[in-house]
Amino acid sequence: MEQANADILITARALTKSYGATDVLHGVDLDVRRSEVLCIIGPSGSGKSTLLRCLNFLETYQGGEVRIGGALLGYRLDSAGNRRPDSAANIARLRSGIAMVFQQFNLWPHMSVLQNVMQPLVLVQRKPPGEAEAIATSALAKVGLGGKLSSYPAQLSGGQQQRVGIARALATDPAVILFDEPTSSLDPELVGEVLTVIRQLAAEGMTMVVVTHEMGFAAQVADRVAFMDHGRIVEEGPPAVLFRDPHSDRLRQFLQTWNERSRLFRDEPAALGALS
Amino acid sequence: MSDFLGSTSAAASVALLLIGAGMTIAVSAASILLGFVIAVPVCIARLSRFRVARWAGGVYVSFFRGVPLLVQLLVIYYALPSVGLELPSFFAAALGLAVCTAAYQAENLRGGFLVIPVGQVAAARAFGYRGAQIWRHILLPQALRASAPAIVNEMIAILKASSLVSVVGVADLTRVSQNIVARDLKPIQWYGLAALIYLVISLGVAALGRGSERRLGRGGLAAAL
Amino acid sequence: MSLDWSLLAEYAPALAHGTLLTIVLWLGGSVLALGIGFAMALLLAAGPDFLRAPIRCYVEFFRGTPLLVQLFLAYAGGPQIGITLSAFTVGLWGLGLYGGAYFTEIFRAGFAAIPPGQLDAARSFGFSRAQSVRHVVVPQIMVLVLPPAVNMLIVILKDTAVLSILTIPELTFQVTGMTLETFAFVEPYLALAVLYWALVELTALGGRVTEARLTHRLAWG
Repeated sequence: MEQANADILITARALTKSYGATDVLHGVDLDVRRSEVLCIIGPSGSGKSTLLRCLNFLETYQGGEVRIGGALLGYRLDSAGNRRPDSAANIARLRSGIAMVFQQFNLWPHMSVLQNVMQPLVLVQRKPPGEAEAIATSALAKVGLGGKLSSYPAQLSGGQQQRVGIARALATDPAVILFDEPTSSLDPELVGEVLTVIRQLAAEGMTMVVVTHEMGFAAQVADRVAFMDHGRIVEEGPPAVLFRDPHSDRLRQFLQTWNERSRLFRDEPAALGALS
Repeated sequence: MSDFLGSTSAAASVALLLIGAGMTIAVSAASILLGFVIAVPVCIARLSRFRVARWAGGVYVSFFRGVPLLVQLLVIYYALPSVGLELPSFFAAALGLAVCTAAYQAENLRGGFLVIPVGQVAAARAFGYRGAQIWRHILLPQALRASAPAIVNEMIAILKASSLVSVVGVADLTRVSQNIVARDLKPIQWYGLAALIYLVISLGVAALGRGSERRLGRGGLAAAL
Repeated sequence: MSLDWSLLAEYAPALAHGTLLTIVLWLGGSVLALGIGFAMALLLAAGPDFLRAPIRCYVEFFRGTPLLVQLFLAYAGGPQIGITLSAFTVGLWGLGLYGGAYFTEIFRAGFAAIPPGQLDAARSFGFSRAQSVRHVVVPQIMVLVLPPAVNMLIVILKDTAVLSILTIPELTFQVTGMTLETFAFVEPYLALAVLYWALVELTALGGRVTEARLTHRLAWG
């Protein structure tokens, strides 16, 4: 790699994970570079979300390693050089530079929108409430929800709730934001408003890893796309290359299915045009 | 062994305990059945079109769930004779337990009825079913199936509550263990053993409940009726 | 069958004492039960694995055996191993441990009902376990837990009557004493029943009011 190591924020090497007897990840290698948008695509069950959740150790991994800025995540080496589970405090510390946006939004329903965004700042970053409120307010304004500060999640649409989730992530001033299928739970007419916000963040240079089914979005916004199948990264590269000239049969099959489906629903015709 | 379990032959005492356990099961079973018989009309009253019936059912449930069982037993055992109704211990106890459990069973049944989709009654009526037929063939079977878990829980509750009949002169498991301890001391052993027997009976009822749920299956109980 | 009011006046002090003791045992037992139940449920959810089995044994024993037998076991069994406890202590802690087993299940179900995604979010932002419990779990659990908790409080209230068997001088004990001395059984016992009934209905009403207040903001759908 020509880029300096300081520009690689997260690395995964030979990552393996299993749930009991079932293997979910089979030796995944991945780099996340500063300011890039990395989209992970693939069929259901390919392990995309699991991979993403291993990157901030929300899921534990059994083999291989994940490093945040060079530091091993989730484990530490004891004096004999054996790997042991790391302390919760250390893991939290390493996680603090990574924020996450969830498919189910996962807002805390008993708190107002403003409180949802403020909570991590007050509880984890230990900012004084006044400062936290100011940061939260500006993050919410940035995603277009400045007028909803005192609303509760139940009163918002899905798209609005997800934008609150993004504001919550932004407010913590992260180095990387992980998006776990951010639009999969949304009604189709609400998907656009969320993608617009993500696009804006990309334009501002935020480092993002996005697991998504939105091919059009991946084609337009991603710097790199990784295609996963059965727990492995099968192909990886710039979207123009990957989508126009897939090497592997599996990816070709996957894109074929998607093309047929989107022709049927006339989904993102501009993106289709870009691909053909 | 005899030193651990007291002076009287341990075997004899264990036998007495088991007889007491039998009495516990008997009085519980009697009150569950009698309670069910009382619960059905109470439940029907609660679900009735007529406000008076609903009110009466509501008062019954509220009263018998709001008064401690012990007080209910004391009323039946001591107060009823004052107005001329003297019942032998077993029947007084069974009656006391029955009117109490009827309130809970009525509520369980009501819950079972409330889960039945409304459309089913409409469909039945459209096919010409009359009121009693709707109850017998559509509503009751499904309500029973839906409330089966709650009914099993209630059975276990009665088993434990039946320990109070020891106070009104029934030689149940609790009373027998009290007698043994009074004679032989060693309360931890004998009360502990009594507790264990209650536990085993409860677990047995729970297992039976799960087993019959599985065996009767989806259409089972309804089909059986 | 007219109630002899002079009887009531004569026994008023005893009845007042009995009522007071009933309330003390009820509230004290409830506080103990709530505390024990919450702690056990918390340990089950977030504590070390080796505690799981002992806690389950505790829950199964106290939920699977009659309260009366538990009380006898403690009251008569204590001296057998050299610990002599007053009837009041046995009664209070008996209610606490008995209720605690039920509250353990109630709180456990409450914890389990919180969508795990919310805890994922908290974890991903770096919340400590304690912070997750305090800021995400507890506020939401209140609404879920309230109806079964109110039911259990009512159960504990009614079970204070059982303590009379241990000769703890609460209300039922006092009234029973009164009937044995005056040979009037109907009025005192009926009055006793109505008194408990009133207390239970009041508690249930309080529960409904609190539930309505708590739910107006939270929509789970």
